[in-house]
Formats: sequence, structure tokens, C-alpha cells
Amino acid sequence: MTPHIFLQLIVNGIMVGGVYGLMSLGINLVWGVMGVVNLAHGDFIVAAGFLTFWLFTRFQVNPLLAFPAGVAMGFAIGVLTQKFLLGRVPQDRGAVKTSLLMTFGVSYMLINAAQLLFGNEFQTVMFLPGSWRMLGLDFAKSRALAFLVAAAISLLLWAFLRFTFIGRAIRAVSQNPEGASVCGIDIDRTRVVSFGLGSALAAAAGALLVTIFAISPAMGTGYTVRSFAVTVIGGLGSFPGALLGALILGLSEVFTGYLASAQIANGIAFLLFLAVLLARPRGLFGRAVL
Amino acid sequence: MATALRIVAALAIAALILVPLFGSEYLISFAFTTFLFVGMAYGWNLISGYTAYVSFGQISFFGIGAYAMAILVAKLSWPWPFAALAGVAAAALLAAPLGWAMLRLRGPYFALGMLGFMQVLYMVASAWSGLTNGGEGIYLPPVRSLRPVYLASLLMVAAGLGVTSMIDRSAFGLRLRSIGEDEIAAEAMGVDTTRAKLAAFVLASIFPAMAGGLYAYRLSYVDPSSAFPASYEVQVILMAIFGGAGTVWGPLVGGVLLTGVAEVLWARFAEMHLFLFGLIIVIVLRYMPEGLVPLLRQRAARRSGPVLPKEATG
Repeated sequence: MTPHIFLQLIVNGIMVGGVYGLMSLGINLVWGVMGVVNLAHGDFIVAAGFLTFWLFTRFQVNPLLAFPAGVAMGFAIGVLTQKFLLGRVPQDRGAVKTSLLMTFGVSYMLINAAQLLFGNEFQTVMFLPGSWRMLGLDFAKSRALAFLVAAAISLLLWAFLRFTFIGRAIRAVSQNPEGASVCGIDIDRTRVVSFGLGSALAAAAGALLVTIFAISPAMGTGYTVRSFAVTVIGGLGSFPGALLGALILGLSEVFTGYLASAQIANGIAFLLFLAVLLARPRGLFGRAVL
Repeated sequence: MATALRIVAALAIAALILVPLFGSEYLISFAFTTFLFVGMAYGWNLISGYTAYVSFGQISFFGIGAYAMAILVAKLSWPWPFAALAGVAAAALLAAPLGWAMLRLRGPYFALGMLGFMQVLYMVASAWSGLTNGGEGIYLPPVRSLRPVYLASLLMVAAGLGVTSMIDRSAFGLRLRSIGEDEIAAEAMGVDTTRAKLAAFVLASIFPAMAGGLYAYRLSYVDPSSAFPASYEVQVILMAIFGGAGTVWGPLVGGVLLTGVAEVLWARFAEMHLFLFGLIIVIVLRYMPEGLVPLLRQRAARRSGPVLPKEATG
């Protein structure tokens, strides 16, 4: 590997990592607030990707204009899922188990719906071909744009969680639900908003991913595992952790893809996940959760 | 009551053994498919029904069983029953170290870990073409008669029912349930939780491995997507929770009822059956989270009136 290829791979890995960071923030948020991982997270990603694809091929809608529609759809599905399904699960010892199984059911409903609507083929949106050349390195335009949008949204989310009332309520509930409740925070409503927000983030990531990779309905599970792996690597509830975890995953995948094959790169998320859990269960930056 | 039940059970067993002698090919094939699912539901039930460790990756062991059957029969011309047993042994040998690593993880960690593990196996099966022929797949000699594999699948269901009813009443079953209720409390009470859940995990891996081997033999062909069919994972989990997870009869009741439903769905809405399975999972969890068997038991108990202690009735 020449130094030039090495640097180029690093650039590619960082750009992909930016989008991975965005998709993992959704799972991180929901998990922190509700102690539940949404197994349909990756399918929300794929659903928004297909919406973007459909609007682009059918009506020539620019993916940047379709972006808000995808995010709104993600938010709506998330709110409905939480309101009518997860929110109704009795909060006893079996709650985590039931919620996991429930989102598993939702996951397959979405996979099958996407298959019925769009078939099993891989689809992508090529609206920004070519690349910019800087310092002798290629920055694929679509990847660079996806990275910038992902970074901007991550920053917005950070500000939202830090400075708005709802954002602070979300953080309070994830740190201590009883305490938050005593302070007058409506926990059920906060959960609905968090789940909607988590799904909206998944959708945002999906709308960006479809412009840089080809997606198919069956890929959702892979993205769920990736989002979860990023959260585990970085640590639950940690913003810098999530972004670092995403960069680690993005870089590992790009390098494995180059040195071995894209097929093997798909399994990297799981291996990183397992290695981190066995060596340092709380992740690189997170609070103890195990 | 108990004698009547025993007679019914004996008749049912006799009928099931006689099916291959008198039944049509379609009936045998349908019963065979049903038994594969019931067996896998028993496997899932052992780890995810009794404890709180929900596995979404049991189909990994199905794939190992399927590939063991294909490689040993097609490449080394083993007789199929030995190949099926070798697949089971391979799955159990893998389940031991895998369980050691995975069962330290709880809740979502374990669930996602098993999901990821299945994807890694799929990737290995696709990439390691020297062993698995990759995406081309392995062809097995065509099956002349379904009868022998039918009996094997019946045996698997009997084993599932037998092992589960033994465990259900044993101290081991109690340990597993205590892990499901509250693992930390169980540990504090002196339960060796690591050993108990590892034993359940290894035992649970045997059933999908057997089912995978028989399935591959019946299909005469194995490739990565037929060895790791994600839709079977959904179906098996649905059957176990529909019948009643953590009960002796749940997987059998759920498996038999839902394979019938699946057959109809498959025939009428082949394209939509995954959607419908997902929907039924959600509906069952929402309105009947305990499953059918506990529900019926409660109904029966209510009908026979309150049970008073002996002293009170005098």
C-alpha cells in the first residue's frame, strides 16, 4: 500500500464514518432513554433510503430536497411505534425482552414492505457524480456532501440536547427516570419524542447513505448491527464516543474492503463489537452499563 | 383424566409413526416441515423462553447443521444420519465458546451479538468457497424417500418435548427461570448462573443444527441464503411466543398451529408472509404476551372455580 492510497483510504473512511455516526446517534439516544435497542433501526434507515430513491427516480426530486420528507417520515414511524407498541409494554422485568421482540416484528414488517414496493435489487441515487481533488486526494462529491450534512445534523442534535427544554428532559430521563419524574418531566412524552427523534436520525442517515452506497431491503439488519456496534465501541450516552466509534468502524470497513473484500468488511462491525465488549464493556467513553 | 390423556397421547404417537406408511407425500412433507419448526421452537425456548437471553441468531446453528450435512454427504459421501449427528456435534462445540463469550452480555447486547454472529457466519459461508462452494452452493444427491427423515424429525420433536418437560420440573429448570426473573438475585442465592445458562445455550444449539441438517438433506441443495434463512428465525420465534415461551407445550402448540397458518399464508400471500409474521409477532406481544398455553391454563383454572386449601374445605 502506497502512502497515497493509505491517505485516500483514510479520507474515504472518515467520510463514511460521519454518516455512521449519525445513524448510531439515533440508537444511542433511544437506548439511553428507554434501555431498549430498536431492532428495526436499520430498517428505518433503509426505508428512508428507498423513499429518497423513489422520489429521485420517479419525480426527479433532488435528494437534498427529499431529505426533510425522509426525516419527517422517520419521525412519524418512530412516534407511532412508541405510542402504540413499545409504550404499551408493561414496565416489568420482561419489558426489555418484550420490546426487543416487538421491534424484531416491526423490522420484518418493514423489510417485507420494502421488498413488495421496490423489489430485492440494490438501488442507489447517483445525483452527484465525480469528485473534488484536494492535496492530491480525491473527495467523492456525494460522500463529502453526505459527510457535511451528517456532521451538521450531529451538531444540531448536540445543541438541541444541550440547550432546549425537551433536549434537557431527554438527557434527564436517560440519566435518572425517577429523578426526572419528580422534577415534573412527563416521562411517557419524553420517550415518545426520543423514539421519534431516534427514528428521524436513522432516516436522515438512510437518506444520505443511499447517495453513496447501493441499498437493498434485506440490508437493514446489517445497519442495525453497525449502529449498535458504533454505540458499544464509543460508549452509551457519549457524544464524542459515538463519533469516534463511527470513525473507527468506517476506517476499519474501508481498509478491510481494500485489503480483503467488501464481503469480509461487512462482518467487521460484529468483530469490533465483540472485542470491545470483552475488553472494555463500557466502551471507550461511556458510562458503565453492564 | 390422567389416564384419558395418556391414551390420547399414545394414539397420537402411534398415528404420527404410521403417517409415513399410509400418508400421501404431501402430508409427510407438511408434517416434516412442521416438525422442523417445532423442534427449532423447542431449541429457542430453552435459552430464550426460560432465561431472559433473547437470541435472534439461532439460525446460525441451523446453517452449521445444513453445511455439515451438505459437505459430509456430497463431498465425503457419509450416510445422512451420521452427517446430521456430526452437524449437531459441530454446533454444540461452537456453542460452548460462543456462549462463554456472549452470555456475559445481557439484554440488547446479547440479542444484537447473536444477530451479528449470524451475519458473520453468512459472510464466512459466502467467502470460504473452498469449503462451501460460496454462492454456487452444494448439491446433494436427490432424496428418494422422505420417510426416514420424517422419522428423524419426529424424533427431534419428541426429544424437544421430553428434554423440556424434564428441565421444566428439575432444579436446572428452576435455575434457568431464576436467571430469567432476576439474574443478580439468582447469583446472590448461590445459583451458578454461568454454568446454567451455558448448558441451556449449548442444549438449545442442538435443535436448530439438527433441523438444518434434515432441511438441507430434504432440499438437496445448500447455499448461504438457504442455510441462513432469516425468515425461519422470525417464524421460530413467533411460534415459541405464540404458544407460550418458557412452557413445556408452548412450542408444540404454537409450532403446529402456525405452520398450518404459514402454509395457508405461503399459498395465498407468498409475497407478504414475512410482513404478516412480523405483524402477528407484534399483535401477540401486545395482546397475549404470555402466549396461548398459559392463557388457556388460566381460563381452565378460572372455570373450575377457586381452589381452596384442604384445611378450609375440611
